Amino acid sequence: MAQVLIIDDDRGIRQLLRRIIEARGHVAVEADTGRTGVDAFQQQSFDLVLTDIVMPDMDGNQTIVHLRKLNPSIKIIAVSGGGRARNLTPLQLAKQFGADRILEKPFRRDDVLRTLDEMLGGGQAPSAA
Amino acid sequence: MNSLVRQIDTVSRESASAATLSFGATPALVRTIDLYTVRVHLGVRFPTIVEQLHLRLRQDIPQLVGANGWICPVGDLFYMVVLWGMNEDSATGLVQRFLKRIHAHLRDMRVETAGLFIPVNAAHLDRRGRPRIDAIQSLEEGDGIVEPSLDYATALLAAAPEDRSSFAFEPVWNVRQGVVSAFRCIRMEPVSPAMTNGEAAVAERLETSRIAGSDLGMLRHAIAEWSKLPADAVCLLIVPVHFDTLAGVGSRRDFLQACSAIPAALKRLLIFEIERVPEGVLAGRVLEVARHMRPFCRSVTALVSFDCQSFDAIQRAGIPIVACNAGGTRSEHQCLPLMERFVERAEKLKLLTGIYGIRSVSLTTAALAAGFVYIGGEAVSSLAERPRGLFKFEMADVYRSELDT
Repeated sequence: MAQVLIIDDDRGIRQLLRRIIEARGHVAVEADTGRTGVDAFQQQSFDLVLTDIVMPDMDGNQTIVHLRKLNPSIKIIAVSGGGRARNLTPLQLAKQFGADRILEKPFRRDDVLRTLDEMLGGGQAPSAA
Repeated sequence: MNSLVRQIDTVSRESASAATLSFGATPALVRTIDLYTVRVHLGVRFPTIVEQLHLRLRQDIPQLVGANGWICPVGDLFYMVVLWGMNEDSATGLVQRFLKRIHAHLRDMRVETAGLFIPVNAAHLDRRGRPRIDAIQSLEEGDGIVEPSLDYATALLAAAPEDRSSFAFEPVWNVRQGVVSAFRCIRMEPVSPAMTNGEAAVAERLETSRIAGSDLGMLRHAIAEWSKLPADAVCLLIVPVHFDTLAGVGSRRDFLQACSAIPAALKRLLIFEIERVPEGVLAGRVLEVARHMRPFCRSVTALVSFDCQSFDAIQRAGIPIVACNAGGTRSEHQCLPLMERFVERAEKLKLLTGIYGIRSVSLTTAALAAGFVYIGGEAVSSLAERPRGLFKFEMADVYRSELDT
């Protein structure tokens, strides 16, 4: 069972991701901004972080930079739809800043599960925090 | 203004107000006389001379208006004229005589008044004694009222040095081209609070005159700083000017006169941004304002409120770009949804969009995701004392400070 931190300013997306993650037997913790996500990361140990990119106060790429400084080996998935303009440049940049994977919104449940399994080692025996 | 003049101001206003209200059901005529061109003309001498001017005019007023109304100073930049029992022509004649007195007193104080144009705006009081601006106009020129000249335009641009710290230039990133191609002149302090309406119409009009003076100062500053650019540094220069400045005949005349002194080389690079285009204004008004500006610039754009619901008038006036400002007191949480809706409304009308005052990386990302084509603000690059040549800029550059720390 892995500890997964979900950072997204959209409550609906957070809850959707939480359901998917918990259905796989992992524990999900939610944060609604990059800043609160970084705070949570400093207080608790996580195996994986899923972060949105377009967020107020601290965007996803800034969040990734902070998380990498706190834990260079943390696994990070960046998630974004590029907004109305479908501009995916910030999401594509996430890899430069240290995201292990990127996931485009709108995503399908299977895409999330597959990415989770790949990142957490198949999903059969998720590592403990 | 010293205490004596302040006292005159207060007493006069109270008397005018009482007289006006006691006048009851008969409509009165109202004019406002703007002295901001006098301030521009006098520069640093203005505070001393205007004090004397108020005192001298104080002696003239009873003779001029008698029992037919009131003329009183409002602050040191305006006079309010309230007249009753008069038709328009008589009122115009009386105001012209008052303007002649202003010119005469200035000449007595050894001020050269040739070419000095003093704008007058028309309004009226309604049946309940409340001021209503029905049209913004200036008196026709006549004795003692002189048309502004080209020399005067040059003087408007050259006179009355502004405090350099009042203005700065924000870089504007053209997202599609991947280049910071323009610098937008901004005020470091807001020029006035939000627009008012109803009973505050006259007060608003007085405020508008102050804003017109500030617009002139900004144009002067922008041109002066642009002229310091090295010959090989090319960039577009965005200069905001308030819609009200261009909608009022008097203030527009002064602004256009100042524009006539813009160097030809700058006209090819200059973008006038019509600021605070009122929501619901007729397209014809916007078109008229834009048409006045086009001979002096490369393009005309519009700046509207973040939550403006309709850009129809702007689109119908042939303005290709509509922009908003993310500065101010709104939090980023509040800005993000507004950004998306702004772009959505503009794109329906095939307008390009700009957003300025972007102060953080996260807002830049949000602006990009919302689909803004032009993004300006400190997050792109620091505010500058003067414009500089265009330079390449990509999204990764937004994060440069994050990576450097």
